[in-house]
Amino acid sequence: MGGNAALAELKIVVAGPMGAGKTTLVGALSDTEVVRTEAASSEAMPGKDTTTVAMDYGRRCIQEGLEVAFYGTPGQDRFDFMWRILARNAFGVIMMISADAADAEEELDRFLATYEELLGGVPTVIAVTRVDLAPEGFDRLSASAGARYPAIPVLPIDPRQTDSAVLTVEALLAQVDSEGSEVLDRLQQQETMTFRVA
Amino acid sequence: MSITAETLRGHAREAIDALLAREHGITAAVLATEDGFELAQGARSQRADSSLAALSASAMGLAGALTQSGHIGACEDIYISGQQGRILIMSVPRLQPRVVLLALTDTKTSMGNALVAVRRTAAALADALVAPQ
Repeated sequence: MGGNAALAELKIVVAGPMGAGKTTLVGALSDTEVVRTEAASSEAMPGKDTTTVAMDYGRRCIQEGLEVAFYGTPGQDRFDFMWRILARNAFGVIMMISADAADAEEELDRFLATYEELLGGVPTVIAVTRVDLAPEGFDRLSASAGARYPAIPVLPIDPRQTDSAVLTVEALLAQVDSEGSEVLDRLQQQETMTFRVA
Repeated sequence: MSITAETLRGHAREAIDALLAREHGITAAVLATEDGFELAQGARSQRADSSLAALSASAMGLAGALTQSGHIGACEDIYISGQQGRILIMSVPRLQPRVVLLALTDTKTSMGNALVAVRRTAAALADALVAPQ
């Protein structure tokens, strides 16, 4: 006796180092209640008392017939097992980085390399936060990322603002097809993934 | 009452030693901050895997999200059965930010005994921390 159950979900991973704004972005994007796993942070970081220890999860209807699920990851390396779990079957990655982080370029390189290894060339956007606090940091990031990753858009965003957050997702989807039809095709391809019960 | 990290680590170390001495079916135990930093660990045979602290924090975070979504209040304990043993995870009572206690057991130990031992250890740690130093 056997049975199949189909998957129908466009999954986007929100990745990047601690304090980049991943939890805030998932909150701004989701039109359902967000699942959060926040814990008090032991690491000193101005204005940040809590940190994600497993994942954030939210959903949004981007267009008719296209529901997107957002999975925010923990930022610290000690939670890298969650990166691997959450990356499975992901359609794309929003890679977040703070413009005012001291080691922003190195961290961006490191996280992009990690997700390239995990997901192998899925659509990606680099979303740079706190640009108002460090406009020169954004200029540096934008120039270096543009030179090293010419196929990946680099966007200044405000993760607190839904419009800005949605624009980031649209930029990700637009990499596949500006009309979105190829996105739907890919979603249908994902739906061919099945489970079997023996 | 505020407690230094050093004091917490000292009491955590004693609590782990006491737990392993009291309940022989517990093969390893870890105390960790709720954001995944190890405070103390102990094991009968070899060192407990260093990833257990972060995994405990993630498990408690996910379990808390599950109990909240299921409208059954805050998560108190997690029980996991493996082919070669069990895992118990719970928070130390009264302590904020939360500290998570994980215990690994063998398959011969009853879950009830292990649960009582782990709960007593967590309560004793909380008592020790609020007692005059």
